[in-house]
Amino acid sequence: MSRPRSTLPRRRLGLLVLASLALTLGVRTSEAHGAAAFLPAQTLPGTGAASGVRTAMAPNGFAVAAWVESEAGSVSAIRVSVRPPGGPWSAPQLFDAGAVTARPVVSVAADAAGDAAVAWEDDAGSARDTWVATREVPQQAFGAPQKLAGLAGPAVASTRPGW
Amino acid sequence: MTLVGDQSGAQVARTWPVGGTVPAAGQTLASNCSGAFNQLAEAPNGDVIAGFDCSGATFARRLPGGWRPASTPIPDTAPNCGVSLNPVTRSTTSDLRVAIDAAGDPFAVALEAVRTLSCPLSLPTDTFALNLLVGAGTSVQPAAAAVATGVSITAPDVAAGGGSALVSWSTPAVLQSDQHVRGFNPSGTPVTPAQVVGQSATSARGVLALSESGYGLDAFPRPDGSVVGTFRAPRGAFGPPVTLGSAAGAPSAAIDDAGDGLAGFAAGSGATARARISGFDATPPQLTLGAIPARATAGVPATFSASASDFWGPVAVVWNFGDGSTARGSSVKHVYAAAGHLTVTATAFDAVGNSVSAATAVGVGRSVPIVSNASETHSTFRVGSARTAIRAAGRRRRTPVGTTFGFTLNVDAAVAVRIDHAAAGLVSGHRCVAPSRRLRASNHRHCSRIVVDGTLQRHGHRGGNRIGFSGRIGRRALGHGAHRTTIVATAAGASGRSRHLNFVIVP
Repeated sequence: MSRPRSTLPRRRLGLLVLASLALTLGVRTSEAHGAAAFLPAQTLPGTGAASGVRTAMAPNGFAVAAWVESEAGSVSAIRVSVRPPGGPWSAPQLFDAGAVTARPVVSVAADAAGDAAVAWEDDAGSARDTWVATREVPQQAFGAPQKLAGLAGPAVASTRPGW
Repeated sequence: MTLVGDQSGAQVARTWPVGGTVPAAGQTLASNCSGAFNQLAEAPNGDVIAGFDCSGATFARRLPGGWRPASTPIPDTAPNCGVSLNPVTRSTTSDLRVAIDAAGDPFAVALEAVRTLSCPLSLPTDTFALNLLVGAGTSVQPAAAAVATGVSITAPDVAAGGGSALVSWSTPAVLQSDQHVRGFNPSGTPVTPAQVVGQSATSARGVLALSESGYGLDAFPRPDGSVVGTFRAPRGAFGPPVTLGSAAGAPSAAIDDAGDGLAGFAAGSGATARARISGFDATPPQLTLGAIPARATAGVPATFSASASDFWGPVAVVWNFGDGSTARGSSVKHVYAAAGHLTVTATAFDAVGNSVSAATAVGVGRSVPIVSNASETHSTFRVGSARTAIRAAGRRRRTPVGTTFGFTLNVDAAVAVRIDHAAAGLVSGHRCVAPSRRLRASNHRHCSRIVVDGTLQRHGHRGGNRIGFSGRIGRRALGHGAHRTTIVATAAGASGRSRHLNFVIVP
């Protein structure tokens, strides 16, 4: 979805002149006006106490959000939702996080192709492990998370590099 | 895709293609790392900058050909006084962030905690230095001057886009902090003055986002437990912060190239806390005109349609037909009252008032009203007592009183119902005139002439119309005998073809 950028005021006079000229010729014209503002916050569905919301957005607007959910005081799940440009947020996908830290490291990434990744740390027991789940176009959902044993503090990025 | 993390004190990177699996073994980028502040940023072209705390602010870049050796341009220092009486300065990395723009320009900020010891007695003085690092060869190097120095600096962040970077940081005071933002170019030179964008809480990090086109978003927690967001247009300053909701912890923020962004945060407390996303709508809807008639006819409904969509949600389409009339909806009908050349404008509004308009010219031609389906309820009737128009009274067993003319119009129009009858006359010249004594005496030829009884003027509307007729024009009753009705409609100065009906007035 390609979107026009907000129109700058100094462009308006020129656009009006062009519009007037075009109308005399019976040509369709258009003009945009910006009133940029924050929208009311939207609650993404979940069942537990949410914390650590992380978001990423690709240059074309494809977005991903992930957060930690706790049940009865124990961190138990990672939820992740994606939003295609101009579309709605998907139903959050749930990953059983086992037992992660009270302040887990969650990292998300998205690219313009619609790929996304979420990684989080699981410090159950004595080991600190990382889990990573990816959504790779044409998949519509994240696949099963993969465990990277002994890896802590994950940071993830997603691109389809040109080289 | 790329992932970095700490594995037994070493920073390890894994890279795998979309559709592939995460490799079990990774590539070690740096060692002697604390595992803190692991950071990763990847440009759309695949260039990467990663940052870690490995005995100092350490950075590694991935460029075409693979990862380059990590470097530590700001190493931790921990000199001892020894025998010297001169003060010594110990520096440790207390925070860092990285960013990269689409062209692969890397940026990083490293917050250094600097402790100065007076030797030989340790009377420490603590300060902070926030350093910006910019691309230099295959690594990054500190810019010429620190972004900020002071006794209290926390929670830095950096965002990159379009060959520049924004850096944010907090300067905590007793109960709250100032949230600062400043812009830099790839050489590390400031390109905007430092701006205090609001008062932030002391304990949580504000986050920056910068699009390739220069739009910026900063979200940060306030001392009152709310989270706020502020926006800037390319090359502009950030506007006043807007409260997005109550939140615990740090928000997150992101923005795309068109200027649409979002802030995410956890709202509520305890078990009721939920993930919330507040979108930032910077772009107008998209609007495409659909069926727009190049020519319309006055009095005849014309259909106008447009399709509109918006990045964030519902769109309202408002039409201005150029004649002072408006309508709402993606598909509407409008009837022009008069002919002319007009400009039709469709405007699509999104939820925050961003709008886009599209205009086109419409030529409206004169309408020709058409009378059809002419009928009468009774073709033989008696004259009623009412003046002219009556409700049809034709359901008696005997001869009904009055009749009702029915007809259909294609447009709203003025309707003339003329009633006349044929009468005997005499030819005078080329005309048939009423027989006068003189004409009778002159033995003129007989003829039949039309005598107009009168005309009813009514306003007809598009569709079916009914006009009651008592058999009187005003107070005057029509004479007995055959009569003819002619119905003519006129709109915008144009009259269409007339329709005729016949009836008989009986005693």
